[in-house]
Amino acid sequence: MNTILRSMAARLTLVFGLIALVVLSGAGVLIYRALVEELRRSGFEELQGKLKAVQHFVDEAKSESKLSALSHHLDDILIGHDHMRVWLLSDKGETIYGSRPMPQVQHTDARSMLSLVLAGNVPYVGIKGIVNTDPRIPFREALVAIDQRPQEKLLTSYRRTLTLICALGVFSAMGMGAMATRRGLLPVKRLSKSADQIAPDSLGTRLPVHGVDMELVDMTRAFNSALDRVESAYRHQEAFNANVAHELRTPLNTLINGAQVTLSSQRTNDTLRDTLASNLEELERLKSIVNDMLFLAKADQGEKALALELVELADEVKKSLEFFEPVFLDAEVEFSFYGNALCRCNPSLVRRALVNLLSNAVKHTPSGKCVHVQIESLPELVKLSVSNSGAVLSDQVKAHMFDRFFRADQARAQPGESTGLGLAIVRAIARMHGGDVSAQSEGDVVTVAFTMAKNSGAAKRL
Amino acid sequence: MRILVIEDERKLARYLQQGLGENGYVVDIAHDGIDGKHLATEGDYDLVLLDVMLPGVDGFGVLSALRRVKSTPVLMLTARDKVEDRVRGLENGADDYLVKPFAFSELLARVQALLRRGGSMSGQEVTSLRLGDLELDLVRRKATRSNERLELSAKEFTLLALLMRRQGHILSRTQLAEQVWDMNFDSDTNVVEVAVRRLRAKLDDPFAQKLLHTVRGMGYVLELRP
Repeated sequence: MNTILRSMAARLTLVFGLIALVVLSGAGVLIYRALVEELRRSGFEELQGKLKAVQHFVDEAKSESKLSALSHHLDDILIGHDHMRVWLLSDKGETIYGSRPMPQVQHTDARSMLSLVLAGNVPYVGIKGIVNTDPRIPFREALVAIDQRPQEKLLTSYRRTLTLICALGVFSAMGMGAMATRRGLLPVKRLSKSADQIAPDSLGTRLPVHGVDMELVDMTRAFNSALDRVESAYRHQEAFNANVAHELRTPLNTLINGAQVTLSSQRTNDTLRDTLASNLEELERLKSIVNDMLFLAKADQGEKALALELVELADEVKKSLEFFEPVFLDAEVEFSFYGNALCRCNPSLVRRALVNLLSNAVKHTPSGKCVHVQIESLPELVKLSVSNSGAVLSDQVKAHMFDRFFRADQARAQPGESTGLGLAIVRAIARMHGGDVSAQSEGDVVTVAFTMAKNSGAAKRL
Repeated sequence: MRILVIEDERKLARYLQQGLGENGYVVDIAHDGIDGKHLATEGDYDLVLLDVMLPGVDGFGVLSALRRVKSTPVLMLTARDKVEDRVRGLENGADDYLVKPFAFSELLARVQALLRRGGSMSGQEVTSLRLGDLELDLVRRKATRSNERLELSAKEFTLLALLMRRQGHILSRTQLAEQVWDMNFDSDTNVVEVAVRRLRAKLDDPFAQKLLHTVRGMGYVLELRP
């Protein structure tokens, strides 16, 4: 049942059937009632006519004093009217004329029509009327009645016909409804057929919006924009995979060649040791690329930061600056920081983001200049910005600096140099905390910042 | 000290056996979960290195079978670093957890830590450390070499103290970053190199006998070399 009701066509067909049933059966009942009423009325009129005729014969017989002829007259009226009966009753209720025993009166309706039952359970309706007030004449009332069986037979067949018409109506309404629904849903079928043709190699294909029924335009648009998002994610992923392969290829190439050249002739222990150490360096580089990519992949899958603590951000900034101090001293770059804020975050991830930003900043700061870290508390967010003087960001760099494997100088990375994932990781960490990244360049000061929701993950934790 | 290595990757198992063997441990290897379970429960080991993904019975299965009969320390090795996995391992009675790829020096440090924890080594408080003519006063945080005071920053002293405590052991950049600066992630910066270079300038440059050595690709070691 449930599976049938999940089909739009089946549901609509059922609804059409129900509507037809209600309408037709309602009409049928009304028609039937009108007919019953009409039959009763005409029966009543007929009975009244007969009663008048009886009255007439009684008056005639009375005036001519030929009461004996009355029963003949009455017999005559009934000839050809088998379904009709006449009784004359005395004021004590005795039958003066007509078949005995007197029929039982079942009940009397609003028009004072009487329902009677004759011997053999034959139903009659009749009316009574006073036809004589002369006490010398032995009867006072006349009862005229008609057999109900022909009428009941008529009504029964009428009922049967009405039911049949109703059933037929319902079935044809359902049939036509089903056809109309199927026809009405054809555009949906066409739509799903064109959607069927979209595959990874034809990801640019979209469903046609022109010539689509008005009701389906919104759905088609929504579907197309979902496809846009999927396509962009897919292209992004493809480009990323190509980048990854490319980045891994360089250290792999070094490793393979190093090992082959070393093995191709006799080497001293020192040379072998040197090759192994160099291999290890390349392998460490591979490891860090793979680990960073796994981290980014997890962040891409919407993983939220875990192990959240309420943290004084100034402490994390201090730790990160302390870590970087030797590099600042070496590069003769000044550093400072200002501000503090409380934030619910993963402190290790925050330090990682800060270290990446500092590493980026110090690389682009000429000696004698300054790197400044600022912590700001915004209404919902905290903002950590790292600015350095002595550099300018082009718009092109600004647009792509948070992309994976993006390098401003495009030169091939040297072993031990950054993997080009540092700022992408900053962005991932910001997003894991419900924030984002930004970059701006004013004069010769470049500021790269990331935000975090103050209470990230407090609402929903694992 | 006997160590059981349950690891289906044969190359890695052999290297672990060699590396740990050179560090004075006796190492047995099992290549699948069934053998591993048998050896771990029946044999007498001081430590079990247990891979999570194993043919036959997986690492969690071996662990729970082992925990039913004994409390041998277990260090789990895995390529998966989902938090749930880590939690599951530790909840089931693993003593530590190492994510592949790991550095051998890191593994060795963890193994030593677990074995120290198991056996009761006297944890006497050390107040001073000495290597050749280098002397560290851990209470006053003073370093002297040939009775000459070395002017070290706070972090430089911590770095030197760590290298002194683990003298003769190679410490990787990651280990140093984690233990000296609390940076428990792989950063692709050269901060540790710079810090070591600056320490070396104060510690070794003025003296003929060099103490702080770089082991290429591995890290740094403080030791007297002839």
